[in-house]
Amino acid sequence: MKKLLKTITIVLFAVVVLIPTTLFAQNKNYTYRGQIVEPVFTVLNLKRNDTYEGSIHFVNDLEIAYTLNLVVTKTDFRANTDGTSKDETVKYPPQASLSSWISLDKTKISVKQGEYADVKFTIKVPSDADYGGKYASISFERNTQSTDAPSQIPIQTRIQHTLLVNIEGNRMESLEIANFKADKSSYSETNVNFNTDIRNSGNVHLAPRGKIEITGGIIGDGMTMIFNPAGKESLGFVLPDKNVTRQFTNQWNDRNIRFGEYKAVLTVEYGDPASPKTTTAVLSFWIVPWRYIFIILGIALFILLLVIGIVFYRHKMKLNPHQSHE
Amino acid sequence: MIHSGLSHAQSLTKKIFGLAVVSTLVFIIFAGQVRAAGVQNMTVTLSVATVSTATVMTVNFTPNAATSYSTGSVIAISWTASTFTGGAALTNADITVTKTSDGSFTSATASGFTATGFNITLTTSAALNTTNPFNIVIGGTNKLTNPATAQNISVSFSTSGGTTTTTDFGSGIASVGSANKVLVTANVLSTISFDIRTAADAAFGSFPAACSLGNLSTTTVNFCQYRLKVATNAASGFTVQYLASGNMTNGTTSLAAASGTTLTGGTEGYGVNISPGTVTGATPTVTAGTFTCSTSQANCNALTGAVTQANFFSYQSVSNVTVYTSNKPNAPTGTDTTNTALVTHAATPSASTPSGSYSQTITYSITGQF
Repeated sequence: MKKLLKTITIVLFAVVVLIPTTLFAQNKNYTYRGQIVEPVFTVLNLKRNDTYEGSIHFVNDLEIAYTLNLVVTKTDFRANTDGTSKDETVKYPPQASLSSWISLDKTKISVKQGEYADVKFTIKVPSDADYGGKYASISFERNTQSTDAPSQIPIQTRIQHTLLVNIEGNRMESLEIANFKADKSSYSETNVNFNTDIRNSGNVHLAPRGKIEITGGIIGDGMTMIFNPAGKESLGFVLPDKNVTRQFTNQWNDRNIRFGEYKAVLTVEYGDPASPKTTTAVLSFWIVPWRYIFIILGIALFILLLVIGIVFYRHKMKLNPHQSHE
Repeated sequence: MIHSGLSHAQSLTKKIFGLAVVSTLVFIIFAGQVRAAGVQNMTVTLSVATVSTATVMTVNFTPNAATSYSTGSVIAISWTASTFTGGAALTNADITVTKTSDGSFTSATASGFTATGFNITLTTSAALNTTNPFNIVIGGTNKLTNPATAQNISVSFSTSGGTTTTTDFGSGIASVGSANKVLVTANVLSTISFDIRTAADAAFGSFPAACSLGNLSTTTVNFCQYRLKVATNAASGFTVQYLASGNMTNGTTSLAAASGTTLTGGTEGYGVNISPGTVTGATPTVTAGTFTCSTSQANCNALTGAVTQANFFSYQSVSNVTVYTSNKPNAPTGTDTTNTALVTHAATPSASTPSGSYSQTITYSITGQF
């Protein structure tokens, strides 16, 4: 029995030593292959003179044995005119340039297939930093050279980690619904696309959150849908720029039969959840199920003609009761 | 001696048996743990964060293990003891559970209310997806009350039951009072991956350094193809932008841009087409960037040979241009020609095109949508 206990002790000791390795290995299994960057975002609130240290994990999970030689770079950006992509052509002065506050522990990495590299970055906010939202990318760039082959198109890649940093102070929160519309004014079935353009006239990035409540109609209920569900996951930001709007889409699509005029009320909240600011917009549209109406009218017309035919036949038989014997 | 030998053998057998039993137990115990999968996107928000004030708590998370969520599955919600009060007085009517756009979700019933949490039992028509998040609103007629002192409170969930024994779990922080006002940091733990694949979505024999059009001829339109494969679990999707070194050039002469011109053998032109496919998810949105012919669609359709796709345009911008985006996560499978984008480069010279080695460098920037 003592020997059995001894054996159990040895095995448990081995398990304690081995299990962390197993979980670590499990952690390195990715669903998708290729060049992998995680996390994709770092979202921060910092103050002047703050220092923040972070890390980005790059994995070479290509299917083939190939060593990736990458350059790690940093770039400022602002929202492009579409509100969702990056405009990296901007040049900011030092007090507004997040990328200039970032230092990287390495600017070149060489990663074999199946291996990874961690790049650490440090943000040191200067004492004269501008308040408000500051944005930068850290890119893992693969630069390739042209060969002597004819008509070559070398393909380079930049996979990015995105930093959204708010420098606390003089915070201005201002979202407005620049546009809220449905793709049509009337529908023959429930397939309504709502497009909402949001403009941020403040100085910090904000994730609008809220709902679209649809009511009305003579036949068929409305519904409530979540506006910008990504906002629930600290994403779906509108970056501050009064010349840019970001479009959000919602779709109301089901097979229920509806008829009548419906009203859609968009309620958008933003800012501190403890005391959120709210803005709303309203639109209306019609749902007229023409196909079903035509079917019903067709059936009604058929019944009407049938009744008329029967009445006419009976009337004829009444006038000439011996007709069928002729 | 023989007796002693048998005794030694019996002892060895016992050791091996004991080792086997314990190893089996350990495997069973820890195998379950390895299969468990924590979500990384759980968020907790309070309608009011003021101390000693009634609040509505909203918990959001996207399931990480689809088979954990089916009829009978139980989501246990809990928070740190001695923080929020009023938990035991909550009722099913005070809890709203939604999972928008997941057609398999039917309803949920809350029960087992205590001072530190409660259980939610799901009713579904099939296993729930791992795309659409749960939205759990805690607080109706009865509400939780924030603690009297400012603090960050851990709120967690674990799911059990359903069709398998796989569990799912996650946690988030609810900040009460000014506990989070000094420095708030948050890494949104999402992943993005990118690969360049063959047109059939297979791995290239060697990692592709280039798309090669070969020796151009005035009698045909040469083309080369590859596939952009982007996968991300970022809730807001991804963006792919291209940047060109300039025109397709031999250093002194550039091939005519294809946009608005006819790509037929012998009429000089160079263009690119992206067939963006789709992305996984309920109602994906993929925009096609600048895929517009400047004069007429008919010209774009006139490409002869094996490539018959429309919308050839010129890759010549030296600043980033968005060409392929999604506002939803994308999860292409191993070989997937649907949820990936096919890129075709095509070119043809004219009789007067100067000879030489023509080239253009393309850079793709891949980023999560913020």
